[in-house]
Amino acid sequence: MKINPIWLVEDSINDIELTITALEESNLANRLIVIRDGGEALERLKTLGYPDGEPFPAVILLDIKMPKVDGIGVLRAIKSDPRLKNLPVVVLTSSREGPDVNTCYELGANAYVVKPMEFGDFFDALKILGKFWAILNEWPEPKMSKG
Amino acid sequence: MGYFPRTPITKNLPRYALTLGIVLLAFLLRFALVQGLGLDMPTYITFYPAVITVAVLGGLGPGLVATALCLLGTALLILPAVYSLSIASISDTVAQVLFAVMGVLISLLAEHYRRGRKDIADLLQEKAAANIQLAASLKALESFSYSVSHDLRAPLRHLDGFLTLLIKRSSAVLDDTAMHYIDRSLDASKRMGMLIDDLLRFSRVGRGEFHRTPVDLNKLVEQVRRELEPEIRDRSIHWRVDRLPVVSADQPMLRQVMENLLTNALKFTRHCPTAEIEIGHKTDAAGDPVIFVRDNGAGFDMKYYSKLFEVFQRLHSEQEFEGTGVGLAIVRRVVERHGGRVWAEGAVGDGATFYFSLPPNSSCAEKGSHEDKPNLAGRG
Repeated sequence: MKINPIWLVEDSINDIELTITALEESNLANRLIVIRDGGEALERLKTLGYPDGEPFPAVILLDIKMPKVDGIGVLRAIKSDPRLKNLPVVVLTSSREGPDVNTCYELGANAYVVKPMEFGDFFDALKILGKFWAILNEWPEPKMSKG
Repeated sequence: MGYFPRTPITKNLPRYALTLGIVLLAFLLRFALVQGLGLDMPTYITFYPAVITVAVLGGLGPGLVATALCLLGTALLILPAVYSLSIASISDTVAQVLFAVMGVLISLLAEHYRRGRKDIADLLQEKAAANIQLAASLKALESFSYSVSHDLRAPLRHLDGFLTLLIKRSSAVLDDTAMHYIDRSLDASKRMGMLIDDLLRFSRVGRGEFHRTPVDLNKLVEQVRRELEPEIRDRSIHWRVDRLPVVSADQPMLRQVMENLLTNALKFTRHCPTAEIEIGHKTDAAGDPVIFVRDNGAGFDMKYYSKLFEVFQRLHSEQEFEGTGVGLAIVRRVVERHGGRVWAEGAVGDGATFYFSLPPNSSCAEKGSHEDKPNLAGRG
């Protein structure tokens, strides 16, 4: 069985390291692909699913606040593209403030998670997210395009 | 009075052209009526309307010019050239002087009226500009608290995360002092997190939506007490709750007030063998309802009263009683948004009483000027 990777779109090196540590502990077989900014995410989305391109991710963990193209921009690009719109996107954010929750659900986010302040909780949250989206969740994987 | 316009002449040209036109029209009309139709008319009958029209449309300058033109034209074209002081010429002269005086008065009056209109227009424009500015700063404030919660929280989470990982990895090789330092750092980052949360809570109280509805304080107090129940299960507390009125208030905000006051009362009676907490009400001089919460706890020194309701000000050490110093600041902000006021009485070791008034229909007195200088919170 082919295992889809997990995408982590996140600009903070600290969050990346903590997230990797947490996901490592949950012993997922999925490869974690770290993407450091929204612009790069948009680039890599373009080649997704083509024969010589990358496989579709099982879930995209998407940080909202990033320089240049932010998470909202990436989410909009994914959900407005008929080829990509079924990709599960989990929005991760530091903040409960602001219009983000509504905006994200309007745009079609599959989940919205506020990163818990305490590391223990943050750790647990990521383990749960990893297990749920990478193992339990079934989704209509987009068909591979023919070139 | 500074009535004389200082605008360049070119800008005034249309006004003076209009003046000339209207005066000319008045003369033509007069000639048509007197010469054409042979009517017998008072000399200035068509000139008064001309001067009024010009003054209203053009203001003081054109009004005076029109008056002068009418006088000059009348003297040159209408009145017989007289060189003797006949009765007729005297009455003509009086009429001329009267016309001149009327012309000046009309022009002054019209100018006054025009200025008033302009002032009102300016005021309206200023007000519109101020509103736009206010909306902009409100938006700026919102995005500020948004990025505060984003940007200040993230490093704390990282601090907490890496310290926890450090403990996990190295607790076996670290001595007690090293572990103590790490614990201290963790506590500090947690406290910083609490401060950020409370600051955000406080800023939300100031700018959030505000809807007055009738609120039954008995029910509200009951709800808050039930919520606090788990924290006080093993304490001896003697409650005395009056029959409370139904007040007109924003329900969630008022709930926050009662929650903060009761939490405080419970916190500061922690060391009492039996805590006595009284929730009651009375009426102030203006007839508005006043609610109070009284406890027999640690109290406070009236000397520091001025700090009591200020943000991040605390009258007890963190070791004695935990807290961030935002609770009472929120109480004050909410009550002020209701147009009421807060005050307190207390003595060290002898309990405290917190009062707030809730005027039923005061137009929610948006104490806008207070918004920019955070001056809130106190004990808890």
